[in-house]
Amino acid sequence: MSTVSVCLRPDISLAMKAPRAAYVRFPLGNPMGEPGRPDQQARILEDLFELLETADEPGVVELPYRWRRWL
Amino acid sequence: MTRGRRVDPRDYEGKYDQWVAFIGANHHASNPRRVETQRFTPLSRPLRESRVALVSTAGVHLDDQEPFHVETVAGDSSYRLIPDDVDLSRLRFTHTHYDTSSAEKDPNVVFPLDRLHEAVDDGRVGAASAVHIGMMGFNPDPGAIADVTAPAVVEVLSAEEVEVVVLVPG
Repeated sequence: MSTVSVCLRPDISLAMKAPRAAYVRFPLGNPMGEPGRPDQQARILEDLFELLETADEPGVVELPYRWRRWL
Repeated sequence: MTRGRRVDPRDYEGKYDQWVAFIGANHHASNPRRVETQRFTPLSRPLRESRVALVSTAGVHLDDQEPFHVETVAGDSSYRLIPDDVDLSRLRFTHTHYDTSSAEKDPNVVFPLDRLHEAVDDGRVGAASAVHIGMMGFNPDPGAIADVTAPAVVEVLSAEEVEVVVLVPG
């Protein structure tokens, strides 16, 4: 079974040796983005799929998203 | 190619140990582990032909399933089966270590089942598993997760002929 995970804490994903993890700088409770934003959720799911397809070695990749409500 | 940049493990050196020390100081049952063996299973076939399951640790369960035990110091290592055709309004989020208000407004924030179904409809992935998995991430001693729950979940998903698992935290 191939796995890909959303990551909210890179140190934990690295310590657990997650095969593929996509780090988002979102607050806990919002791993796929903001509520009511299906476009954002779909984009992140697509990022996870692309990581599954393209990663040729284990590791964590940081996705280029920011949490706008933190401003 | 995937968007984003590769995280340099050196940037996070020592952070996990700090967190382990924090958990140890605040929870009686703390027994965090490090994983020693790096696993990396390539896709066995293209995603458009693969069966995909969601595994959430956001405390996801159905309204008629037993909620996760969140008041015990040891956490709760059990899991719940979430059928693929579930009405998302039946999902509950029992977890006291993150703010569940976003999930309650929009379950797809922690359990992106609608988005997975759209990916199936679009032909991006082959199929959704008939069942998905709900777990609750607060487990200061993850021994039972590693030794009992994870193998049981693998057995369930193998029986469903799942080839790809998308893991989503809370």
